[in-house]
Amino acid sequence: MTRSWRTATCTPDPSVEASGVTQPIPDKHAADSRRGVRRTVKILIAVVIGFYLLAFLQILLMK
Amino acid sequence: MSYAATHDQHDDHHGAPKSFFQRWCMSTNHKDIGTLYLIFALTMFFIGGSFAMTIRAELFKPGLQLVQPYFFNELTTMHGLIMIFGAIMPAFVGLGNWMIPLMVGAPDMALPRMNNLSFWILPFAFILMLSTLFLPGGGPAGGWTMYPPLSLQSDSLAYVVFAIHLMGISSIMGAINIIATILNMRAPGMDLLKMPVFVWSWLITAFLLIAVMPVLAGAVTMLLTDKYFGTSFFNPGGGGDPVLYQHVFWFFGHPEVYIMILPAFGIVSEIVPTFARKPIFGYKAMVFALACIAFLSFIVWAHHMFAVGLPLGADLFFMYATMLIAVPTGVKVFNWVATMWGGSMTFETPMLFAIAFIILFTIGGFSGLMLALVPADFQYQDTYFVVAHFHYVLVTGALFAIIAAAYYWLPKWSGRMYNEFWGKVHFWNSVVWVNVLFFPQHFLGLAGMPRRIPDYNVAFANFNMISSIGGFLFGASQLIFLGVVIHCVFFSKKKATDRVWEGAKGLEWTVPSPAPHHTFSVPPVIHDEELAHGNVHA
Repeated sequence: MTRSWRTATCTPDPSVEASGVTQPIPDKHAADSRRGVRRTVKILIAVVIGFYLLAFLQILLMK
Repeated sequence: MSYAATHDQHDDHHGAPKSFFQRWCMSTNHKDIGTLYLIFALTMFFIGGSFAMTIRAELFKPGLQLVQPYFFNELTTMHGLIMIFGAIMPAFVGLGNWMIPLMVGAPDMALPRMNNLSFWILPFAFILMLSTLFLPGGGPAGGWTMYPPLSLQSDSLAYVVFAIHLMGISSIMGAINIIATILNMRAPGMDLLKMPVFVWSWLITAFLLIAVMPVLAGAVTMLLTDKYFGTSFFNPGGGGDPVLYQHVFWFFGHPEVYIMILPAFGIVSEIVPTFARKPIFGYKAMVFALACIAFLSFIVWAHHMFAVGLPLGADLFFMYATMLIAVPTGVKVFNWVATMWGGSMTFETPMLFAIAFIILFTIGGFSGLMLALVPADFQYQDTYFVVAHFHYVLVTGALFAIIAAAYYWLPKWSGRMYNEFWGKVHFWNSVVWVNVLFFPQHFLGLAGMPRRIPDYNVAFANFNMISSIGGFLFGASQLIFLGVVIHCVFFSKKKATDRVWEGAKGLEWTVPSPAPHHTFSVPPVIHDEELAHGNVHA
């Protein structure tokens, strides 16, 4: 089923409600995307902070 | 003409905030932030351009004409910093913001609020940097490379260093956003090797940005501590070495050159297939060539420093590594030509700029090969030959690609067609005068005229006068571009179709023109035959 990425977790889907499920089930693609974004951002931020720390550690060591 | 009949006007701003402040200052929409980046880049382009006009006016004839030597040095420094960090890079980020989500079928960038922050840092950084021109001690005057000890003499160093830190943070946040978007937000079925080349070029560029911006931050921070905190990183009197700065700076600086040209390669790889009405020739080779160029950019930095006295082995390594870059770059140039070969070509303004890019960037590439030769470089070092080389690469390369992209996607952004006649007037004026401006600078450099000087020997007078005339007319030609864009956005009566260009393929052409405020809320279905490069697995 193709559903809106923006509303997948917050807008009740009538077809889902009709089936008796109270919580809308986010589609797998949107959930994978969100999880992937979180993982990618964590890795990239760690890399950037690592680079900055390395640069400034080098400055301190060479001082 | 390759664009067809119009269609009914769509509700182009459905869902956009009503108030000006909400829409433009608080925006998290990739299209609005892309527009902000492009407007900012255009503004900076004209400010940096006005500095260039003053430089060329001063150099119109020998002797001091208009400005004092120190102010001339401030102008050359600011011109470089503004054009690189304020015009070219933000323009590519703006294009990326606008087009990457549309091209991969994503509803927005992965981190929309950070997207807003990374844009709004920039105006403050550049106001801070430009304000140094009005400080009692004047602005930075040691060149955009800020080599010590010259740059340490500037009273405004702390302001410039802080501004560069801000720009770096903005670039890194933008890069993280782009990588997260491309790797995670692609529509189902949009495999990595089905992505448009422009998206690939930005993915690789974003990794370059993350790798090198912290290096620049480290280099300028060491300058700051040398000036204000008593360190001696670059001061031989305290055991330091000014050449160390050059190594650190160019470890950032050479990948930076590719940060400014890889997205241009991506743009040309989108435009040429559209107007040749053929899929790009050698899609995978184009992608791997981009990756090769990015890798090689990390191992060639010392070709900027042959004259400082490196060991012979280092000279040879950096010379051969630099010449190696010609191989993947040649792959790209030949593939663009092969894409056009046998194509049903038309020559609308974006295609004209793309073809001019291929020819003139190649000239810049050839002069780069000349500079890569160690013995020859000792002659060319710090002459106008270098100035001619990097302006061919960055003006007829990066800038022409940005202008081509603006003409190519403007109908999609605005929903209206620009005036093709005036677009072509802009093109022919630009392409003629840019060569009058920069080609004579090769001869000046070969004759020995140094760069960054406000006065020169009378032997250089004629070519300088020709170059300045070219400069004034090239600068004036860009006002035509401004007029074409303003006319298109606000006054054009000619509506654009969804596909805009007859040969255009890719997801961005499947949405209405102008692109609605929100697109791909529902992920699109990918049909291989609808992609710009066809079915690469076929």
